Amino acid sequence: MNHQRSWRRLLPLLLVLGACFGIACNASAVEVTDVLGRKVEVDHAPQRIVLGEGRLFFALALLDRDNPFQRVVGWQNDMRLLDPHTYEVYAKLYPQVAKLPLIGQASEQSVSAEQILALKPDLAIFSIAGEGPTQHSPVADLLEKAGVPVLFIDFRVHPIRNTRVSMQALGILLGREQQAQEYLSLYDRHLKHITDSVAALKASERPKVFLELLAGVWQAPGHTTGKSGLGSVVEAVGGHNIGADVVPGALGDVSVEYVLQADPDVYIATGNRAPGVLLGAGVSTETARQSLAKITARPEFAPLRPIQAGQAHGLWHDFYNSPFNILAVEAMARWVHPGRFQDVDPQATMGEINRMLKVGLDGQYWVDAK
Amino acid sequence: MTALAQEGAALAAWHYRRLLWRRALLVMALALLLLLSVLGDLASGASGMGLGQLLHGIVDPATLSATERVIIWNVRLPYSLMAVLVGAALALAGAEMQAILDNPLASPFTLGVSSSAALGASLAIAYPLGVAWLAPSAQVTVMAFVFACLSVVLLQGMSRLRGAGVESLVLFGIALVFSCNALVSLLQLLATEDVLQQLVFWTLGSLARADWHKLGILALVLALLLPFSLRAAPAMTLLRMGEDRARSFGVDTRRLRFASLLRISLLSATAVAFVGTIGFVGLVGPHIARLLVGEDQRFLLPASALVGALMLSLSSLASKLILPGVIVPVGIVTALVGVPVFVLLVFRRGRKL
Amino acid sequence: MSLLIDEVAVAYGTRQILHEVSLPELPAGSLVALVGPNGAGKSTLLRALAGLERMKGGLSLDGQDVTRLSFAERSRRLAYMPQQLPPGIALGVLESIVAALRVSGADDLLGNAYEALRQLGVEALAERSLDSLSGGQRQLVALAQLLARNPQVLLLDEPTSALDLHYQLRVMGAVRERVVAHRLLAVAVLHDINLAAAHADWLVVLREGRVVACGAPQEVLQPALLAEVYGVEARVERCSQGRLQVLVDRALA
Repeated sequence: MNHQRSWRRLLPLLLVLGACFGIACNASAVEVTDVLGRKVEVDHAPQRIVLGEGRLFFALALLDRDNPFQRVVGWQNDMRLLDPHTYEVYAKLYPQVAKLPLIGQASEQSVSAEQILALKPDLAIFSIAGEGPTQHSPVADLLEKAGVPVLFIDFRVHPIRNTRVSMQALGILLGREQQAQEYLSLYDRHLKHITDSVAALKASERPKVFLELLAGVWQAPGHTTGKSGLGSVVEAVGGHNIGADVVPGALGDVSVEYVLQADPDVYIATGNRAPGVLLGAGVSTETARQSLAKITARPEFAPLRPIQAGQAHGLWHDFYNSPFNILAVEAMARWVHPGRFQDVDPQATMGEINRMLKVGLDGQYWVDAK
Repeated sequence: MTALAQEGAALAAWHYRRLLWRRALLVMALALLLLLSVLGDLASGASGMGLGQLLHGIVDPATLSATERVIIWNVRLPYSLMAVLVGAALALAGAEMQAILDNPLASPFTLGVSSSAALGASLAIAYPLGVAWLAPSAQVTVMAFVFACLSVVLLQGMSRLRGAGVESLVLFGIALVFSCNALVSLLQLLATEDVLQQLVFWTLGSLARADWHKLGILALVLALLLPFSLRAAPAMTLLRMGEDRARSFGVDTRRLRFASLLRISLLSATAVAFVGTIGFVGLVGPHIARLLVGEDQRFLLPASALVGALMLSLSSLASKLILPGVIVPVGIVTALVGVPVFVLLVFRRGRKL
Repeated sequence: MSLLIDEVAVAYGTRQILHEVSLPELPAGSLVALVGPNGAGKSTLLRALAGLERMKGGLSLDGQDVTRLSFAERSRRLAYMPQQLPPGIALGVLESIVAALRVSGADDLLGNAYEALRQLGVEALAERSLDSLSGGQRQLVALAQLLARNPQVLLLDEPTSALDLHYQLRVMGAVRERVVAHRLLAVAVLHDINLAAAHADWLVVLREGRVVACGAPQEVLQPALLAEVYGVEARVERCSQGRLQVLVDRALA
């Protein structure tokens, strides 16, 4: 009888211990909602990550600050092709980068599902649009059948809305919430400062902006974006993207005549390579300014008011798909509403971001004609 | 018949039978090569899983990890088998097209069937219907199929206009290719970012869309239509000697054409709807087969199917091996291999083409 | 066996190609040549007889109305041979005949095919491939293909147009020999009026869809007719061997 009583007293303790044990086992089981509204669940912090596009790596760089490649087991080759300077810097620091297995070259069609599976990942990160597998790709289905969780992020289609969702989801999944939060508080603060200020602007108070993508590189002048992507950034900073009025889809070429007749107040050219605007890692201000001058010297757009006044601007093209797009937001805010945003300092912001990165952004990422 | 004549007849008969035997052997050799190619295709892949492991995994599935199971049953087997079936379907359709349209450049690709399928798929991608009973991905396949069939119906309708000859049919097919491609480009212009990417992905053929449902349907279509093709083969051989000649032997060329176009539309529409645009298999496959077995359609049709299957199976293998870990889209491989082979054929046959 | 062509008319839409062509009954064992200038409707008449063109009018073989027959039946009796076998067909000679016989439902395909070649004297070509033959050899093979079916009426559309002298004679000679030996009827569209005069029992002269003359060559071939139909000044003479010859002197305005 004594045994029974002590057993009964022990039971609740055992139950509590059991519950604690159970909780401890599931302690690292985590669920997030990604940018597509999908629920993504991992039962432990992922250690083997496959990146659908190489440049999605920059998101990881903000989270795994000491060793950003520690979890990456496979990626596509696009980062090496798009941003060779940054790639070289990383490759010197982390020799394993050069030997990182490729799951594809730089396009969705080149991605090998079997290669991804062979790397035995415990998380795959894809962008909802871009050069890698997207939500409609059979690769995503295959991975789910094999029990590999797939997280969809987006810095590209709706950057203003989705950058924070992406970074937050990623931070939670990787167990790096603190780092994610650190970046996001910077991001949100700077973004809110700008969007709050222009929220009440009437249409007539929004300067007309012509954003020419890959000026001088694209096969025809007037390549611009519609309502999504960098176009949505123009709207967010209180400008009016003249391309959004006529381009029906994501990207399009507007006619020179249309631009001249629209008479924009602000001209921004994006670029990342010759013969366009030279910007990005390892580029000096002088080089950038000279390349911009060549672009504005083109006869097609020379009559534009901002170009005549010597007030053209250049922006790093690859901000269109980067978690660092807050810099693009700030740079553009200064150009679109210079008076209102004199206190906005993208250079300083870049310095703050660089403190969060092992390999900082080192180069010229925007430039003014003067 | 005199004794000498009888001897001559016997000799000729012997030669004839030997010719047929040689052809039959060539067809069997093609089948064997195909088997080897499929085994090779099954044995290769980025994960390094060998043929032995794969076969063992099929026989004894309990030993497999989830990843290995997916690799065998969702990647290797479907892709390899799809290559075989699609190659066979496209080449068979191409062979029949070349016979009944009397044009060596006819194929599902060149006559606009693939482009029409691409247009149908693009419309479905850009404007999906929100119906519960048909998933968006299935809608794409269905629309691709419907549009491919419509293009063949259109081609057939054109051929009945004012007794229009085969030349106008081919010209119309070419017009169809250009217009459909232009319309797809228009859709791309109007598309939002992720729709755009899907459109681009679809217009390039890919075996990665293969699954067991599609395999089953395509296998069924092939199994049902091949007997009908073979039954029409003697009449089609005669058709190769000239339309009037065939008619003078009692062949109802109109009905022959109609039935053949029906088969062509089903074969090519199904194939293209499942994997997208893969060129040159339907064009070059029959030509290679013709070099091997000649114009007797009883041999040419099955040989074309086998050559097409072999071509695509080898291309599937190559697309995995060219860049390790990276897939070279299979349509690019068939074009890169198909074009030189085609040019070689043209030069070899000279004006006989 | 005889062929009666009665008021045969063919029209393409509103354009009348043949205007009620009637001919006297054509007897077995004879070779009838259809001659006339381009566009006279010779090929059209031949194709109408073969059932390849929609026609109005009567056509009877041995008193039986041929137009009522099924296409397969009709083509068995009235066999049509187009101008040329297309070049570049990868089929063997014997094979091509066997293939044709297979479709028309004969038996002992090989035997009949070989015999057809032998009767034209070209059995040595049996194992050759069609695309390795000369034009003339191909035409003989095509003829063998036609004759292998034992038709009653041969309808030959310009059988000698692309042939050299040797094969022109061989083909016409083979046709004539077969026609006489088996009491067949052959109707051939011939471009060369001298060839027609040399081999045909009957000449039918067509012009603008109408029969201008019909009869034995020596009756039909008159300078006045030649002037009217062909627009040439010509003489008709007998050569030293006794054959009728048309010698054209000049074109008339």
